[in-house]
Amino acid sequence: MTKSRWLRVLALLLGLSMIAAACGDDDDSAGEDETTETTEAEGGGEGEGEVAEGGDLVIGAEQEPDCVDWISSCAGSSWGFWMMGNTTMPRAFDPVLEGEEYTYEPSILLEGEPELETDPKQVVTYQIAEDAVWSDGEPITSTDFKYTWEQITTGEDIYDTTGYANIESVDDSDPKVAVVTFSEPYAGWEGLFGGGFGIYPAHLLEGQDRNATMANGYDFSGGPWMIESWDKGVEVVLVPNENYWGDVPKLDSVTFRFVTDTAAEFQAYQAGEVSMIYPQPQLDVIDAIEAGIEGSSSYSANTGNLEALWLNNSKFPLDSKAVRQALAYSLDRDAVVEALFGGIGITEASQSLSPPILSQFNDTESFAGYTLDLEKVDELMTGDGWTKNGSGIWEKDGQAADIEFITTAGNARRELTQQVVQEQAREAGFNITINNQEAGTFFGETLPNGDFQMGLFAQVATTLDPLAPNLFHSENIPSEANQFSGLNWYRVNIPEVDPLLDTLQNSLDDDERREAGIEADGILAENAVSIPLDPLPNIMLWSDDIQGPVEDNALLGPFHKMHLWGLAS
Amino acid sequence: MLAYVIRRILISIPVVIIASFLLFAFVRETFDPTARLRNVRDPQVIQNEIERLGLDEPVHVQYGKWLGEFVQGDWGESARTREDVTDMTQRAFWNTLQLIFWGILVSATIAIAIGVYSAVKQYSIPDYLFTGLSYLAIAMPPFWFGLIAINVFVFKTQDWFGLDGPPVDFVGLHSPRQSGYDMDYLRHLVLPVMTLSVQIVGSWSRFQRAAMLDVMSADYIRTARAKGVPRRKVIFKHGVRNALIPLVTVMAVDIGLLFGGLIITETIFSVPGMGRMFILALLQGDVAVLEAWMVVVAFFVIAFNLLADVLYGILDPRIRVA
Amino acid sequence: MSVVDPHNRGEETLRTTTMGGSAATAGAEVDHEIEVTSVLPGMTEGYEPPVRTQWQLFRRRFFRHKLAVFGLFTLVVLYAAVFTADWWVPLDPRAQDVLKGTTSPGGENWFGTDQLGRDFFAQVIYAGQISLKIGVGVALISTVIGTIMGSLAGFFGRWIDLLLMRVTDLFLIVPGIAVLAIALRKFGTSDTIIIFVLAGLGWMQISRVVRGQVLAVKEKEFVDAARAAGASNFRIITRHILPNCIGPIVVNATLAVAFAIVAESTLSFLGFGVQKPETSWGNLLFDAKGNVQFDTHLLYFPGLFILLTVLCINFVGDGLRDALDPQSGRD
Repeated sequence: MTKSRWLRVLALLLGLSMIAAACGDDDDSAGEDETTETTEAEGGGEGEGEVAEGGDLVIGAEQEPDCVDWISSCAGSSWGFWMMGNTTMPRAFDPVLEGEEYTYEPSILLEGEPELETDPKQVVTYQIAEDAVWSDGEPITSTDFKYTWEQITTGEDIYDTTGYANIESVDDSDPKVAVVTFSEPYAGWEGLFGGGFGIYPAHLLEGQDRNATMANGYDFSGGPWMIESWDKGVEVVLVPNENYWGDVPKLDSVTFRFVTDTAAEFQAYQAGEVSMIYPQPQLDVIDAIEAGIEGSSSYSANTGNLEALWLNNSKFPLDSKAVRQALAYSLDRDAVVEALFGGIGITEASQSLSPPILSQFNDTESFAGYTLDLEKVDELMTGDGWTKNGSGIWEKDGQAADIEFITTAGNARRELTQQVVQEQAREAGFNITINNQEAGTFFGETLPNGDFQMGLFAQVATTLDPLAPNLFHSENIPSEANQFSGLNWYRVNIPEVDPLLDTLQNSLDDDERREAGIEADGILAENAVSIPLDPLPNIMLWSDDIQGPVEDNALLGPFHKMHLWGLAS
Repeated sequence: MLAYVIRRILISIPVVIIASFLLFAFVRETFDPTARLRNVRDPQVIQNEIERLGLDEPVHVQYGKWLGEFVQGDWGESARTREDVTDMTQRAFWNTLQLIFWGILVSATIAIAIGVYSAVKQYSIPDYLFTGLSYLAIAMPPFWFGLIAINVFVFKTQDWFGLDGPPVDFVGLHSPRQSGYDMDYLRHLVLPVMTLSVQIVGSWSRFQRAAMLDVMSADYIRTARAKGVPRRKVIFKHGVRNALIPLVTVMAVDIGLLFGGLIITETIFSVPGMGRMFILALLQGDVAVLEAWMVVVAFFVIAFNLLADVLYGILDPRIRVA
Repeated sequence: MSVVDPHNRGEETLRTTTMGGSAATAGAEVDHEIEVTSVLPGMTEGYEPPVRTQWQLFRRRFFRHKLAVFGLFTLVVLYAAVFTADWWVPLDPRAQDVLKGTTSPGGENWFGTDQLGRDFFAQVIYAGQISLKIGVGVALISTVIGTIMGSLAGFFGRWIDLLLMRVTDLFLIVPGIAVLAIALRKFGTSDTIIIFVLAGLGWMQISRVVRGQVLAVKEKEFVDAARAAGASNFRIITRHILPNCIGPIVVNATLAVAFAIVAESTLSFLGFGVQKPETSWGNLLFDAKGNVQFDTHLLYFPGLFILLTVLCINFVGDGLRDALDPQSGRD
């Protein structure tokens, strides 16, 4: 690192703080805080007047969706929805960050909070905003709600019918009032008619082959942007929807350039070919941020992700509670996290098996007791009948504590994580061998079939519904009964935790859910069913030319306020 | 000659069919096109996909069905995007074709120039220099060269010359929302063309030098010189022309192979060409796309090999193709 | 080779280029002055004086080729250094200092450190064990297979020749990388598997060369003489024909080492090669894909080692060819 580069970085920071002061934003590129929220100003107010009109923005996109018929199974890409989905599809609720917690708030589509009845049946009455219209000028109506529900529940190849399947009827007799009646109560109802799907325009799609019409791009919109073109493999161009009833975008266009290789994407940003990226937190990215690159950046640890050492609770030696606990005491998880993400100021491990954004339903400190403690490891292992063999590895009945450790091949950061964990565990007497697999095999076969001992990957929450019931309820162990689609790949089977997870899943009473969630967390931590590592921080890097509120949303992605952005000339 | 060409084409057809069957069978056995649907909550979705792609039938039945449709001009649709394979292939092919065109143009020009110069000025300092460089170029792993080229030409140049932006681009063939064949296109072409040309220039220039030396020691050149024809004229009129014959045939074979897609170049420089299409399809077990890719590639490999043989026969009357 | 990526064609073109001019004349110029039985040092023991002279002749020709000598010397040093790393590399490639992270070359870390603070010099040297092992392994196996197939095809001709030609055609069309990806997926990605898969794709080049040589040699008088004396086919091939093909075989085997090293690194770069925790040079480069602006030492060093190795192998290959076949080494 030469002196002149430091000087340049310093000058840059100085210039940056001046721009920040001028705009009333507090951009942050130093990353001294654990989580950095970039802007306080929410659109309007003093900032808005100073955002320039016009200009064409180019953003690097890491993934290209297979299709953009959002409810269909081919549209499983988060990037697809971040770029084209929630910028063009109306939704009932916005997931909003308040303080440290994400909650749902009614969106611009609704006239205030919908009415919720719970007795005798769960009924939700949505009042649709009078001025809400599609890009062709037709009003957004309760028929659109009904059409969306019908398509999701009766269509073929639907990505996920959870929640919608609980709906009995949607009454659209008043075009601006949608009355949704549930046959079974559904606690996560606020995530419906939005989420990763959006609301579909009945007047344009009724009687058509929905999937064929939308899969390769569509020209209608109920959001601030419209898809102008989608040149597959190259780029997607969005232009303002002039009929949007909220703030019409200031930019003339936004182009998402597909740069599907993380390294190439980052290079493209460094070279100025794209003005913004939202990369996976790979180490070269973090190194470069540490080294000081141009522009602004933000890192958020308050994400929908949780990366953990996922353990198979039914396979020797991890079928023993004592061994799992001992393994947890063998690791200095804070050191692992600091090695990976220290460059962006994240130095402490996650202490819960739920992603940070679901913190309202769990105890975020339930694993805090597991810190590096080799005496405790000895105590637990000897108590469970293990002795150390000649090479310092625990052994019981002639079987050594060998653990096979799998992650997705080709992810450099995960491979480094494995090597740190391997090194630490060896000192504690566990022999870890690394054997990685291609993602398709790993998630498609190995995990569902339970052919693993320990895996490293992240669980990602796509709504504000708690994940724990899906992951740890004994009914969700893949089996005949759930057609092997259960997600409890870890074979966690603790009878006392199941009823708590039921409550967490189904109760319409938030306090009751929270209590059950916290109690369940405690039991899961006590049993060390898996070992949480990090929240896989979201990283955004953007050019200082971008004005306006650049802020990440763990569910909506980084582009949900793009209509308020401008470009400095 | 015509009979020979027809016979070669007829021999190629069963080879292509066997190759396409092997590819089909092994990809089906190994890669699961439903793997990407594993996180879909409804298990019926996977069942639908299995039916749609006919995965429940034996592989040879699936292949027969595909082949039947393929020969009738229906190349099928991608299992991943459900896009028409013909469209996908055409688009990818066009991008690769541009790279090949410029790559060959640049490589051939440079290689011939170096080869002729080195042969004419044999054992001169530039000759040694070019020989050394060609050794380096041939030994250079292309992907490494590509990354080094980005480091040097995109980043280092900015530091050295105090530029405001990178002098060349390295994402795709055009800047966003541009498609013209202008300065912008040129700036995007520099690095990929350089990357794909480096090894080719290295080997072609060596070849050209050897061929040129061969020709220059031939009797008719000596005779021409003895008759008093100026040296320069001998070199260019007789020497270069005759020395090009062997190179042209080597070039034809090499060019045919380039149509497989420049996987490395396209990966490093984010060009959505045949190579990228192939890799993506391979990982997803997208058989229809892979098959289309293979048939196109086979066509060009065979065609250019044939071209090489024919050219050899035409250009060098001493060789008769039997 | 061509099958991995057309880029690597350069390698093969080099071979076509230098393999005795054009295919049309291949084999026609086999140098009969060399009783090639004597090429391998171990085989010289107990032979009569003229043989020794041939060996000396070869040696003299080879050692006159300065680049080849330089290449050989460098390779010997490199192989020795890499495979004795346990005894002399000062730092443990596995020793982590996660809080130190990536540092530039300097001090006790001659090549700097990687993201986990591990000594990068030690990493590169140890990665060389896998790369060089793959290189030699592939060369040996593909040479053995290629020689057997090539001599069978050349000697017996007919259907086995036809089969060989068609299989070669087949592999010209079937994408090599698909074969590799499928094979590695099916059998795992250990270095042994990679050696066998690359050898399975690489033997055809050698078999073609051997076939050409055999075709030319089998018409010679001494083969007829041996046959008249009642020698079996096996004996004729192993005692009379193959020894006369040893030059091109050795040269091609040498170049196959380079092919394998580049092919493995290319595969690793695309994510199909050796998997962690085993590391090869290609593997280190895969990790360094993003280091085109910062910490470029992670990008430069492993690549330089590949470059140096391949360069030296090509030098040695040239030297061998010139020494074994003086007519081809005119310049």
